[in-house]
Amino acid sequence: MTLEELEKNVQTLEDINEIENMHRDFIYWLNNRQSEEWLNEIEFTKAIEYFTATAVIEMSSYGIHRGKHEVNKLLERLVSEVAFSGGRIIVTQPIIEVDGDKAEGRWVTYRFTEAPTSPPNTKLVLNWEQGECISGYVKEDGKWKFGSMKWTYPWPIPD
Amino acid sequence: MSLEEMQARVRKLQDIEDIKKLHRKYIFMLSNYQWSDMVECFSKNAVADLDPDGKYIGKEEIRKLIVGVIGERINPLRPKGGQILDQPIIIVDGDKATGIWFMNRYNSNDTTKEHWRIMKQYYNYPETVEAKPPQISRGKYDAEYVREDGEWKFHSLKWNFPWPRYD
Repeated sequence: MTLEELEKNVQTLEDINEIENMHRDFIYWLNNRQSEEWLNEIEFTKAIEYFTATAVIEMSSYGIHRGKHEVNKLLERLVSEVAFSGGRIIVTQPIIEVDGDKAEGRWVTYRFTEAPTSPPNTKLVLNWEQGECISGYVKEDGKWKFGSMKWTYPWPIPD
Repeated sequence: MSLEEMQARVRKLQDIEDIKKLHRKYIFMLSNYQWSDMVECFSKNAVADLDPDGKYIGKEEIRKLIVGVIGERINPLRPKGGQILDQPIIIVDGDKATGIWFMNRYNSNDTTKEHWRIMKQYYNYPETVEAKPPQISRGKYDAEYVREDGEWKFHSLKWNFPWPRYD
């Protein structure tokens, strides 16, 4: 193997690591709501940095969202709705394929929610749902971002 | 690119994998009740801050925490469930590194009253909720790692449980 071939292989491994870190960082951000005040004051500028200006998100019941403005609106809605349901999202089992400055990733996702039922016979109810997230990644100014995201849940889709 | 620069890049990738291995091994040992072995994952001057037990500074204090407090609390004859560690974000900078991990805990029905009390406190569940804890609960690790005598160890380990919290 030549030094050039070795460099190409190393670059691919570095890209995979950076893509996985970016995707996980986004999920930590999505999960990390802490209080009503936090939710009211939050600025979505950090989250929007994970996406390209022309990014497209398709998310089962939320539909298709194109470009930063629509993506921003979707993120606000997502955080608001998940915030106080005791919910959290996990992404795991990544399969990342890199091709130069583009890449594709496939992840299995889990969305958990837990909440007490109404009194008087209050019980804690836990629900979970498996999903699939297929993402297109683009390297912009040396930084990996989401160019597209198709998040399907429940997954597999029941017949 | 020179061979030296390439070696440095490969070294960093290897470090990331070695650090993942350290943290996964630590959780494997937790699941397997290997309390003394867990202590060896910490550096000499490490800090462990593990909910709900608080902060312990230095390896010998950490031994008291893991062997004497956690090990005494968990009865291997009556398993309380298990845990899965996932979603690592590891950033390496020379002989130091940081890491974030998510961990799901799977609880059996006889999870301790103390565990349930903490969950109710942080999530503001009504007092009338029956004393049956959730089957799955979650936490987050914030870790600092250090290379000590050529081997990666915990320099600090913060276990945030439950996470996220509503303050």
